[in-house]
Amino acid sequence: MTDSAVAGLFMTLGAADSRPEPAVSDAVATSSLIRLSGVTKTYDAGDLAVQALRGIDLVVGKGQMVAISGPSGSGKSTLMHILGCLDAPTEGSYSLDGQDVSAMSGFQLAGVRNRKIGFVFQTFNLLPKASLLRNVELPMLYAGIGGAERREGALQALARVSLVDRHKHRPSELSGGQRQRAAIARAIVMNPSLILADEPTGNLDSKTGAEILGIFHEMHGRGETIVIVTHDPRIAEQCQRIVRIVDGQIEADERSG
Amino acid sequence: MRKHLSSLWESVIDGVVDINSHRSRSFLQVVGIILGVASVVATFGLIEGGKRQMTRIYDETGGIRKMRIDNKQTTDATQTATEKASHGLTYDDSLVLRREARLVDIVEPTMQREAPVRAPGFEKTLEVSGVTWGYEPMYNFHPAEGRFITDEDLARSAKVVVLGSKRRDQIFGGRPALGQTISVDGSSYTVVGVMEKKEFYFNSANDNALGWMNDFVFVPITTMLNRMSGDRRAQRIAFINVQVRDVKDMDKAMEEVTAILRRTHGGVLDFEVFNRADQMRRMQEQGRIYDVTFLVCGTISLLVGGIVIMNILLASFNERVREVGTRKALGATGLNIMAQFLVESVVVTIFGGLLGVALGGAFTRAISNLIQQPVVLTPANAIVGLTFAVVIGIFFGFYPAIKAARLNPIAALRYE
Repeated sequence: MTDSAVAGLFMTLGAADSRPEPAVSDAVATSSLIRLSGVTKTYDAGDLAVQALRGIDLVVGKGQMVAISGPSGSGKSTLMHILGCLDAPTEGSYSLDGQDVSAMSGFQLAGVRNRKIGFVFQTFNLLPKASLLRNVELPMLYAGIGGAERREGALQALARVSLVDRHKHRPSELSGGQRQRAAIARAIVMNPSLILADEPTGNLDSKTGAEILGIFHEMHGRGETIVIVTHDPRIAEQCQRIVRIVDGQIEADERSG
Repeated sequence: MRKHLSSLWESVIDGVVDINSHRSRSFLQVVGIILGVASVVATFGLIEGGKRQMTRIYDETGGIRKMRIDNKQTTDATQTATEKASHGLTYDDSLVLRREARLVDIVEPTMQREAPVRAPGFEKTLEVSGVTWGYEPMYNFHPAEGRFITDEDLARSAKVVVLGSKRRDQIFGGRPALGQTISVDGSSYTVVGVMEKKEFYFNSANDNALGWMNDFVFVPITTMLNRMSGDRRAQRIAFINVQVRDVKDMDKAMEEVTAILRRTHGGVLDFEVFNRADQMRRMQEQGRIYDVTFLVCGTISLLVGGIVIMNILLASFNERVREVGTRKALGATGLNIMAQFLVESVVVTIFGGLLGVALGGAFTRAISNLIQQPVVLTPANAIVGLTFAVVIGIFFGFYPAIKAARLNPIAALRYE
């Protein structure tokens, strides 16, 4: 098989990022990154079926900074998992960056997560035994990017969070704020369409938390799309738009500024 | 496709990095494999060493192309008239065989008789062997000085004698032996040759396994028949050795020889043909039981090593669940995760396998010194040991690898 034939194969599988965007009639859709329509999620817990999401319609435009907030058990985590392509909706459709991802296989979703989404976790989730450089390289490694390019990309990403001089250190040698910055570097290293942060300041003191939020603001200023899942109203208030989830439904969608 | 392969390759490197960063965990896994491979290599070495010893002593005494024809005693009670008429193997039998048997190279009749041997300062009754020139190629046994018995000696029933190295030393001490005259059975014989010294030690504690060959006093068989005393019954020779042209034809040659002798003996089976190749095969078959036993032991120790690997992988599994979740969130496919886990066990087993081969080599040397017997370490042994190790690594690494690959990323990320 020639390389182009193989590339074509993966394109038809929907896993290639070079796929042209389909023409969408909806004027809003041209600039929208996330389109959820009628998304539900039901968990089977034995006889008991738990409905975590009951019909979510949500459109997030490119370059927006959105907070998804709600009390625990509201379904915001489930929503985040679906947005992050870690889970598939039971019903409804999800289109990310023009691609319908709601019917993709696990293999394809791994590719989407790799290229389109940058995750930032509450607990940082850095590999403890690996250097920062190695940690930040990880997504590029799964994208099959070669060693030299990987190193350069990782160093650039670390530079954007002012950690380039620490690239040889292990996470355990860094402060919590530095670790989260390293995690952000890892999230942006593939230039994803969407940065998805799950309680990114939850394990940090308020001063460091503000610092991390500052980085998100700066990225937002450069036109990145950021979705922050949080139960902390003070964090949510700093976002351009707040989507409040209660009992698996959108209760409010507030825009400021 | 290239992208996917290279990301898989990176998972391999990741696995290696992982091993390095969990040294104590990896160490335990390696130890299990080292011991397993070492015992496999050592047992193989023992088996191989034993086989070589056996083959060597066979080679030293004529190889596996040899077939030996012995007299067989028929019991008096059942003896018929014809049986009584036949008097066992004779020199003539060997001449007929040499003339008629087509699948046979050398026919060597051997006759043995006790006779007094005298020389200045020496007097003893020794076993004297009457043989032909064929004894030399048959046993691959050559004179160190002078010559062996020749066709001419046989034709003239010459009164010549060839001595084994030990006999030469006993009779002549440091004095020259060649050309000297000694008395055998009351008659004068000229020493025309002295045989090379034969030595073979299974281990240093043992005696020379080929020492009996140094005790020979050879005379031409015709000389023994025609000149030395003895009744008609004593015309019977001890045995006939036959060398087959080609080992492949051993069975056919046996049939041929048996048919000829049955005819010359008037249908009486007062002889027996022993086939060296068969004998060796039988011994090898007996040896195979030991082979299997050793192999089972080695395999069991390797299995134990494999179980140790799997155990440690599973025991450390929980602490890696979140890591797997994170990797999946960052875009690792199930295949990437599986490769990473499999690589860990395979690299550990290769590494342990290499050390195990080295340790096994040391073992074989130690055993060899202990039992004073050569133990052989061949490249094939090492390769077999290594292959075993890798197969075990893949086999026992598979379950944890699949388990990791199938982890649900959400559950894995939430895992505390």
